[in-house]
Amino acid sequence: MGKKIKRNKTKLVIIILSLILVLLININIVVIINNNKLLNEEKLLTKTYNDNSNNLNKETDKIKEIESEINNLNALDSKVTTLKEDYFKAIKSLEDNILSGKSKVKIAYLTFDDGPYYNTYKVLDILDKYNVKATFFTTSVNGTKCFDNPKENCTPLYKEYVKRGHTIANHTYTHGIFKGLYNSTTTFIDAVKKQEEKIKTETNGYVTNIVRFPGGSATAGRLKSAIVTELRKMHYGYVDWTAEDGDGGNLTSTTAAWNTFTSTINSNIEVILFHDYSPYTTEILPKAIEYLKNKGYLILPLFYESNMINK
Amino acid sequence: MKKIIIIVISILIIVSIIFLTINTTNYIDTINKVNEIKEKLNKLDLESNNTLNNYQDKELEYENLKKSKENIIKEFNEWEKRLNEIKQNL
Repeated sequence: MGKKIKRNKTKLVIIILSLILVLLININIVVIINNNKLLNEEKLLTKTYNDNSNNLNKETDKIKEIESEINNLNALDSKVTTLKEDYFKAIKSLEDNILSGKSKVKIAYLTFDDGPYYNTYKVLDILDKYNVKATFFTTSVNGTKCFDNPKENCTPLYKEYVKRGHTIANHTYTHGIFKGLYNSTTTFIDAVKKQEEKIKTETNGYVTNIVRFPGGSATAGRLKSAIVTELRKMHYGYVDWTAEDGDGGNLTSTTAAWNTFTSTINSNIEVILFHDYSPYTTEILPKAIEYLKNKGYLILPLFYESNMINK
Repeated sequence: MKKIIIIVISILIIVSIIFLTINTTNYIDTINKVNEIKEKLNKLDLESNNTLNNYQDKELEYENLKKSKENIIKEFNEWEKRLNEIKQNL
């Protein structure tokens, strides 16, 4: 009996131990399965993290690019100033090459005196059509109203010159050749200073340092030397002209304007005198531009450093 | 014989417990790693949102600046073209 009980106890122990073993094995399997699931999840999360990290880097690079573009835009004002300086330096080099015979290129500086007039709009439109920049020697002899259209105000043309890329120059405030402009050095210089202020005011700051004597520098007579000395102190240069169409005199026809114009175009660098009030000049202007281009002239605006400016 | 079976089963139990300990430790490690990655992902999401907002702000700033600088951009292009024309003739 005792042996039977002992045998049964042993069987029971074996069964219990086996159950414990089976339980342990199952728990192990469950832990392993769950661990594998978690490992897969970890793998996926790591991939997502790496992808998102790469995307973030790309976004950060895009931000850097756009910041660079913003900086470039903000620096544009000074870049434009540098470009303008380089442009006129390049023209000076070209002039030097032409004058020394190194270059066969020609330059024509179109200059328009006595404006602004209402007719100046037509002149500007023609210049735009041919993509040509000119120099406008301005005066305030006509006041704010347009001499050729008193219902209109001509002072907005100052901004128009700048907007369309032309050079504004000084032709004295009064243009008073017969009204005392050349009475003394002081009256002339005062008229230059007053026109300089006018130009600055009407354009929000445009500064010019090129002047043309009304009637040409010879009109100043004995005063010329003293005036030029004062102009130099003001860092001004002056320019006359080498070619024209005669519209400053008694032109009577377009044909006369054309003949005068073509007969005066002889040199490799020309400073051409026109007046923007002249209907004859306005009419021949397209043909004159084509004529100059066909003859190999680059049509450019004047600038202080030009060899054609007397300093 | 039964004693041998009991000994064998006992040894197997001990081995199972050892394996269970190792597997459980691994499991806890994996849980920690997963939590760590999830936390890093959350931080990254936050940073990404901030970066996206920053990018959108910068893009708007750029577009507005471009509009306000339209004239100067035009002027820049115009002067560059003029300079190139002269350089071609030098």
